[in-house]
Amino acid sequence: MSTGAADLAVYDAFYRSVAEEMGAALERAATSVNIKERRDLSCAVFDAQGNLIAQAAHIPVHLGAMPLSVRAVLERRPPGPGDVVLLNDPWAGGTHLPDLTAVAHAGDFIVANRAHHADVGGVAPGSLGLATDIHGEGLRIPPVRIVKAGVLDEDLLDLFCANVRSPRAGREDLVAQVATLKRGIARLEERMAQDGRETLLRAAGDLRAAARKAAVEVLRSLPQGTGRMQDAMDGGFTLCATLQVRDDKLVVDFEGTHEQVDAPINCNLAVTWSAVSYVLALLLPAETPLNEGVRDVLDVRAPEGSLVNARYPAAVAGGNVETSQRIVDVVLGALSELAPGLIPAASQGTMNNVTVGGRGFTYYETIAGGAGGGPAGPGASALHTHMTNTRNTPIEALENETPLRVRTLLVARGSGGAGRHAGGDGIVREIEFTEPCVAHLLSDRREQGPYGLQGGARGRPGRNTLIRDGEESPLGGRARLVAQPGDRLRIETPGGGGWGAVEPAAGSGRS
Amino acid sequence: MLSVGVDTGGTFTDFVVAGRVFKLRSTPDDPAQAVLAGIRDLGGGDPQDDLRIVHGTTVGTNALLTGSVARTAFVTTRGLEDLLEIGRQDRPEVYALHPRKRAPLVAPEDCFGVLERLHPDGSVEIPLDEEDLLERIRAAGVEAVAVCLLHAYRNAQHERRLGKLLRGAGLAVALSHETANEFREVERAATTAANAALMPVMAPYLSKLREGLHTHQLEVLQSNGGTASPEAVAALPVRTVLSGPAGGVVAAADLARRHGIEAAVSFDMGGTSTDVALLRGAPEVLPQVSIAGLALRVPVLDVHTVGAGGGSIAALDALGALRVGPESAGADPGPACYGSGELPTVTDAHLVVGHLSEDDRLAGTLQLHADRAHKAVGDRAHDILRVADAAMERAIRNVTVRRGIDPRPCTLIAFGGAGPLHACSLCDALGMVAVLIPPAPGTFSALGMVLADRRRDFVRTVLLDVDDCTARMQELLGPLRAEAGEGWAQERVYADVRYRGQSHELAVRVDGDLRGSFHRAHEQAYGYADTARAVEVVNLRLAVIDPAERREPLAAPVPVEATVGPARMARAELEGAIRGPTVLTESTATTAVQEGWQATVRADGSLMLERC
Repeated sequence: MSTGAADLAVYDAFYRSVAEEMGAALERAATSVNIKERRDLSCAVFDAQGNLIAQAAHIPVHLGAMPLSVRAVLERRPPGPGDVVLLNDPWAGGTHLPDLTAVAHAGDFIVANRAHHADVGGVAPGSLGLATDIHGEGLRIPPVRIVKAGVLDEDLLDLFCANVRSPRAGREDLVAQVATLKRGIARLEERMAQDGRETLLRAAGDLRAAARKAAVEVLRSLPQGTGRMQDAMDGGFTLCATLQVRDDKLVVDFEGTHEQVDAPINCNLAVTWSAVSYVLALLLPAETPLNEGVRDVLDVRAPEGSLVNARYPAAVAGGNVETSQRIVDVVLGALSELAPGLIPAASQGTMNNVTVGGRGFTYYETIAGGAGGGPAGPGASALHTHMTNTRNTPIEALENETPLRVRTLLVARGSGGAGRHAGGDGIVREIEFTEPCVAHLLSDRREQGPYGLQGGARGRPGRNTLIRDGEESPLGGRARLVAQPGDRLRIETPGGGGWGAVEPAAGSGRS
Repeated sequence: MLSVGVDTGGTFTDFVVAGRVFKLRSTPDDPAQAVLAGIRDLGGGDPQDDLRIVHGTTVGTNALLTGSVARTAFVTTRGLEDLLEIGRQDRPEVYALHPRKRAPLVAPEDCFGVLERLHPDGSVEIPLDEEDLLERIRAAGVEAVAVCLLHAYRNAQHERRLGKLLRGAGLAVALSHETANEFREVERAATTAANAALMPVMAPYLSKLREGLHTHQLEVLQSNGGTASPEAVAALPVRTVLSGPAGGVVAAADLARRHGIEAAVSFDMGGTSTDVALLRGAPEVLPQVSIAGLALRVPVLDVHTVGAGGGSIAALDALGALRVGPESAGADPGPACYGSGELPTVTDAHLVVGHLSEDDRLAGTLQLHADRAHKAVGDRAHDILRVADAAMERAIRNVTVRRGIDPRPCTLIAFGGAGPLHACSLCDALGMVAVLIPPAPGTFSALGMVLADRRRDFVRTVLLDVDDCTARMQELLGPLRAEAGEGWAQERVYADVRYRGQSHELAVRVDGDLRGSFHRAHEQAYGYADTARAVEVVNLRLAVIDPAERREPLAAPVPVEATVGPARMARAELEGAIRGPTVLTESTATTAVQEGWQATVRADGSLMLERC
């Protein structure tokens, strides 16, 4: 055991804490609910070349996307000392428009953060509506210097605020993003003075090498070869992944995936990278820092103009919150062909986004579902899976603050697919409207349930239902509903797929 | 009446009484044995000489952590039977191939819905119909029942009726409005279920203690850092889940107050874990704690715990990095130097670098084996200590920097068996000004038991505009004061306040202008205040307190022996400043005075370490 072993632990803790402390500061300084309370934010530290050193990501969908932001900034508008570059453009380092990314120069390092803003304009409040192109989704910001040599550009800030529905919160959140990057810069400078530039940079390099080594070891432990999985989103949009494990590389090719569509479910490449990085992260030992070393082993190939690498001017709002789940499903499914004894069946494959607007309120949340059964045991029920992990709104809070009543919140027993290890069950949530409201649903897996593996059955698909005057009528997975008092909206979320064939009952075995 | 502090830990049960401290081996299978044996050793077997025994217990905590709780039923509003299982729907580990959820405290088949419903304002929408609930619960064969109805914090009449029905049948019953009377059903339900499941565990333990203690008076330390009667604790056992770490924080706060220290960090490093708390005056009480995967609404001292201590094992992880903890050698086999273990621990590293020596007797009795420590640790002693320090540094940054507090002007109050060994290097890493080490640092937590005030906490949800709430304050506090009963020496009123639309609150002391206090608290916590925005009071909290009689054990310096270099002497005999690097050993702990630091003994026997 060399001194290097202690350095790895000490500097791993250091770089992580730089990212975490920037995140804690941003959570404190921001004003909007999304950043402060749903913690839809991430912070990261990079080296001067844009290689990721450490990231504090509460939300997996930010995981693989941040490095692409920094790359885009370095190519198009590299920040000098005292500069902060801002962006949200899906084709220049962003993901969906509400996620604003700020990138700052920090000497031998670069620090960055990303936060989900309450609104960036577009056809619907919250900027996650059913638009058909990017311009219906809000204000698009290519990399621009919001701070130049330490001076905040008030002109740009005014332009931004004039284009969003909550200009005050927007301004405060942006200022908070810019200001809290300084904490990371200070921490890096302080440590640089203590330990020296060489030590700090060498440690960053060692961490990258260690993470890469851990990732390569995982890849080498997998059977080498090719696996393939094809699945379809509601509406028949095919997602297709071909995965190759080749020694020290994991190649994921999405050839065969449906072309981009006129609905807000397209992904730009950053989201696809996030989903693939997430899958690799699942396989790594828990302590592995998710830095550039992990990215080194990935090769993501996504056909341009497809659902997973959409071209301008595709609408992308739901790429993060819906399609990303299904990308994970096909990548894991392809992997299961190589490593059937390792990979669980599909989880619910959607986030069940519900937005309700009425007089004086907006309510947004996502609803959990079933996790897939796997070799390690049955899938968990009523749990958020894969690319999201946000909490639900307490019923008592919802009923005190809105004219909504939650009539049912139960585990949808039996909705998980059968199998040796059954899929987890989804949820039934029934909301009653006591005043006129407009509801938007953005959900998937309403047509075909999550797949089972190794002989396990599919989970039950989700279902959205309007109950009016005692009569039930089905709603689609992506729907807009004008609700009247007394109406009920029932959302049944998908169960997870089952894993392994159900063992025949005792005595009925083959003779 | 003489007070005795009794702190049950994983390895030792510590006793503090009138300037005397001692340790007995804990008896994990029956923790009462060690407690009663210690009291007998004190001569407390003689019932004529009544003692006040204040006990910090881990019985509730361990039952929750190991799941060895009573089989419990859960009763709620029909349509929401799966509240406990669904919880807040988030998963504890984000990157897990097989994500797991903690199994709920109550099995799905033991969850029952009753026909009833309240509007959010508390008015009745559907009257309660008990139907055949009692028969169904009897058929389930449970020992305890938790009842949590929607909006019961507004109107408890349905819960009360169910309580009467079930208690009449001889079941242990926890009602949500009696356990955690505040809105947000998931946490209230989990707290109520945990309480019900602990009632049949805690009651027999307390009865056994009382029986063995004859006429001695027994009090139990709660997670809020205050003591309560055994009756109160038997009814609300869930309020003891952080009883263990609370004692040390109470003692550290008292020490800081007596030394006139305004900002301190309490650093309690034991064998398997380390508890860290920020102290600016009295310790802060938080309304919620997460333990064993459960979010519980109970008043707890604001303590951050990390799974690393003196017994933590050092090993290379999958990455090739050296890690310390969370695996611990525990008491058995213990660190390699104890004589039976093989794996290197933090304690072994200290022995190798000379902070401990074979001549020391840990906890007064334990013989150390240097050769075994050398064999286990090899040439990695300094590395192990560096990595352990980095973990501790992160814990302290967690309670300071991450909350916007600068640690540098803070004094580190270091105790626990291993705390004083790490104090100087931590202060160096964080730029903190000084270290204060109390007398008998190894049993300091037990001293906190003796120093703790009697305290009970009550809460109700009001959800009112701040002005409305302020105008009706006395009326709103009425039910809380009625619950508390008369005869308390002090009361403190707090409000959980937020800007309308926020989903979390800040606790503010109610003392004059509540709106103004909230804006200031928000400014301090988050860096801004929005005086134009509507302010809402979510909960009112009442704490009633009887201050501990601080007579005997406080002023009396605890006689301990210290070794400076080779010379053995009492700490009180140390004259002037001792310059580091040197090591001071005493019976319950060892202090490393690092290069660049000097130690002086204060009037109360505490050691003050400052930079030369």
